[in-house]
Amino acid sequence: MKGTHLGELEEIALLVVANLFDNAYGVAIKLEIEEKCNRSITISTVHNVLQRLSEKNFLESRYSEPTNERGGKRKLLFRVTKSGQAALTTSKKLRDNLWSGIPKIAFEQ
Amino acid sequence: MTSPPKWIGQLLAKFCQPALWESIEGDLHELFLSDLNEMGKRKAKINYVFNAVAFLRYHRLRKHTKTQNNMVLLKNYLKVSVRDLKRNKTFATINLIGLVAGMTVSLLILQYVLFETSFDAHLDDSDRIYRVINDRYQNGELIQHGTITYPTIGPTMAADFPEVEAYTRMIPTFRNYVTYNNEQFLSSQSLYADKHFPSFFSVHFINGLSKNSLDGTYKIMLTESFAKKLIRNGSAMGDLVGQPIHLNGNGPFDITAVVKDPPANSHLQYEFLISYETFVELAGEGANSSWDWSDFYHYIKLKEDASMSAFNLKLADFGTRYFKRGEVSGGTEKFYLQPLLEAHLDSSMEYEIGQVTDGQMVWLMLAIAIFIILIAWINYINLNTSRAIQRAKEVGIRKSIGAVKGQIANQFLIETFVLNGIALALSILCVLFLQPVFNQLTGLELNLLTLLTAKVGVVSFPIILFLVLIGSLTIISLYPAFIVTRFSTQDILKGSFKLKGEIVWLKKGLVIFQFIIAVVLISASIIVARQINYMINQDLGFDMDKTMVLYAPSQNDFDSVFFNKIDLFKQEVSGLSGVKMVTASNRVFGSKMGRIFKIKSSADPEARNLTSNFINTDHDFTRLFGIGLAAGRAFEFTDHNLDGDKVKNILINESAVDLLKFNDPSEAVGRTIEFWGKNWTVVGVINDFHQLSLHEKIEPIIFIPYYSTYHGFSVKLESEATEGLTSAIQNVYEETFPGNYFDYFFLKDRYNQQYTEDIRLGKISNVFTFLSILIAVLGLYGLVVMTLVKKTKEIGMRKVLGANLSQLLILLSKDFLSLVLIAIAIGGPLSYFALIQWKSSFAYALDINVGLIAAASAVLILISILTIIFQTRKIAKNNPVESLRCE
Repeated sequence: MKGTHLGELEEIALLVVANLFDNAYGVAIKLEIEEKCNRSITISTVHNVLQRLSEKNFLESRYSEPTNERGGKRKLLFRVTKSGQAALTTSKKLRDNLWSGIPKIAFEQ
Repeated sequence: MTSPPKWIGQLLAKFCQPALWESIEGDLHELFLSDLNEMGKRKAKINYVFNAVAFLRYHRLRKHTKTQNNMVLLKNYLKVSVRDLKRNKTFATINLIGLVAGMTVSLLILQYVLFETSFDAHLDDSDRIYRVINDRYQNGELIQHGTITYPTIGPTMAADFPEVEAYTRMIPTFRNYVTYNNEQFLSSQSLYADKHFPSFFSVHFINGLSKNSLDGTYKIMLTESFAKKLIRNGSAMGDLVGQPIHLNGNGPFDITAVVKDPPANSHLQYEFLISYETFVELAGEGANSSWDWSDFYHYIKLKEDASMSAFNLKLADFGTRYFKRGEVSGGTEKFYLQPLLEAHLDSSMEYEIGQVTDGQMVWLMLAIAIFIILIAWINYINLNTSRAIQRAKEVGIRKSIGAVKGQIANQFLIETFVLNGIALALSILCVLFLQPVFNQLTGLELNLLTLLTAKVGVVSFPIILFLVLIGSLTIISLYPAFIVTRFSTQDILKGSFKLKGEIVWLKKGLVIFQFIIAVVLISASIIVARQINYMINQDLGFDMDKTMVLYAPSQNDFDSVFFNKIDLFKQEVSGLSGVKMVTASNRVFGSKMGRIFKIKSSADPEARNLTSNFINTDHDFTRLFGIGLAAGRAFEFTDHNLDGDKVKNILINESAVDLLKFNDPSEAVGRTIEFWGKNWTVVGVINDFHQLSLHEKIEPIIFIPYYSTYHGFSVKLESEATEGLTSAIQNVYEETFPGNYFDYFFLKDRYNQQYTEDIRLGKISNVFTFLSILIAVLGLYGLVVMTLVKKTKEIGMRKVLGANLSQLLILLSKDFLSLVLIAIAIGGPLSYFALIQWKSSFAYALDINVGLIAAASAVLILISILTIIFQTRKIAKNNPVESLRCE
């Protein structure tokens, strides 16, 4: 079992998968990341991060029915697992905690 | 409908995890479709490939069939390879020496070949630029082959043929005195060029105008390096633009621009460019519109859709149309184009103005370099095959614990790459070390960067080299692997297997091939050395020993006191102790003379146009050079005249006697010939001599007793020049001809410069010969060692049974020697024919001596015998007990 720590890209990918629910596959995830995060990302990098998350058991995947628009190839659809959800929650909590601890004066300049 | 490029998908599928592949392919396809909409077919396909290739970055997405085990095996292979090299030090050393030598030479030669073939490729549209070649025929014979031609050719072609996009014309000029800011500079080589030149030859401007820089009279463009000579502290190069400058007392010239120097791999070299109209003004309108002034050069750029061969067909008619078969210029003129990219490798043109080299020589070098590396790799194959059999047990064990064929092959691949990698690294060190020597040999500024930046066509050279290396290494390592994997595991482990006949023959064939190359190279280097020796020591028919040649004091007025000045100078210099004699002439031997095309002889009833060389000399010339008289008299002082029109006596050489149809020298004396619009009387005939190198035929020469400001002086010395004597001569020169640079060379050096290429070939072929022998002998040695190891027991038994040393030696050497003999039987005739070919490049050459080839072969046999005996004796002298015990 790999560590449960989430990298920045991993976290984004996980959130995007959750966002896209039921239609979370390579190209859709790539486009969503590009649109929401305003950054460009290659399809290979998307696949790589999805694979990494799967290895960590944060994602599960299944093949869709064959489609016509992609040369007849099926989509590999991803879904966040329970432990994926737990990792996201932990990460969010950690951040909230840190945010709430910032004294007001720290950002006033 | 457009589909994405298939090949990349197929390739990628081999590397990707099968479970993921479908989704990856689908995603790529989807992106491709959206790209297709947005950016079009081409861009979408490119993106597809990039996206696909990017997947290879991630090991997580790649297939892992052999998983981690692969790395372990790889480590094992490496370990075994290194151990094996350590154990078989002889083998490793032999291979390494051969490979390093082969690679070093190849890397050096590649630099040379790539440089020589890179000429002018940097120019814009270089593939559409041609130079105009003009061949002249008289009475059906080719009398001149070159790029030198009439000033009207370029403009007329441009006007007549719509295919011509642009043209430029020029005439070279040498030793110009440049005066700037009251300082004088000497320039060695420049061009008068028309206004099209800068854009035609992609001249790169640093300062000044880029248009009209050569438009009008008295305009000059300086190259960066020459401009730097002119500027003094505090001023910048840009300040030169617009300044006045004088050339040989003419001017002022307007400096219109400073431009980059032509790169070293440019066929045309110059220090500055002078506007062509200046030349017309100085030399006369003929330089613009004449059909019989023949000292000009033209380059043509054809339109993109025009073809050279079609254009050349049209030019056949062009010559007849304008020159009317000899009526205009005295000869039948044929014109055709030569691609500029081929110009540098063609040294056949007479009166060449560009830098040229013998292209055949370049390709020969490349071929030899390839042969040398081939020999080294053949050694590698041969030795490795023999060794593979010794190592068969290792292979057998690997096989029996489950190695598949591919893995056995991997072992050999890795060994090859390790050994060749080490060899390559060492040879790069050797190249760095040998570079200065090599550069001196070639006279070029080469380095490893030449290799890295070179291009072959559009492909970068390092990529080609890399692919060739990988390909060759794979082939040479797979061969032994292939042999070993063919044996069945059982046979190997039992030790009961033998090499198949075909393999033995291939092995022998490779050895024979190596020795054929060695025979050819030894013969070649002996014969080349002999020819060079012959040429340098040949009696040329004139004496050039201890002759110092002073450049002409061209900054001089041709006035009423000119003769007196020249005579005064000659007398004063002759009076110096250590000087025998002085003469003045417009040329010296060893460089091409000018030609007269429309000669008519009183002895030729058909009064045809004839062509001869000419040289202008004073009356001491033939005496100083010790050229003998065949008939009549030599020049006397009274043959000269300040008024050129009154000069009418000439000397001719024996070849000219034949040309002019006189029956013999004595008949020619007193007869007249006609050229340059008047009659001349032959007063004497001199013996033929080699005015040029022995590559060239002795040609007809007419001696004319003209004096001019372009006459240099030949000074015959009593003994070798001393510093004191040289400075004494310099003093007289500078006093008599103020404003001229004193500069000199020795005639013998200059004359022998004609043999630079031959001497270089000699040196290089020596190096090659040494290497080919070294590598071939190493290979033979290695094979002997390998064979003897297998035969140790046999030798032991024979000894026990009473064989003596010499019987054993004969028995063991016979096989190898027969290979060498076969190689000689093939290589001997081969070198004979190759050398006959080479000999034809000389007008005067020694016959190819078959005895020398035999001697070369004998040397090779001797070396081989020594190699074989050296190793065989050791084993044969061993105590048979030890041999028999060894297992």
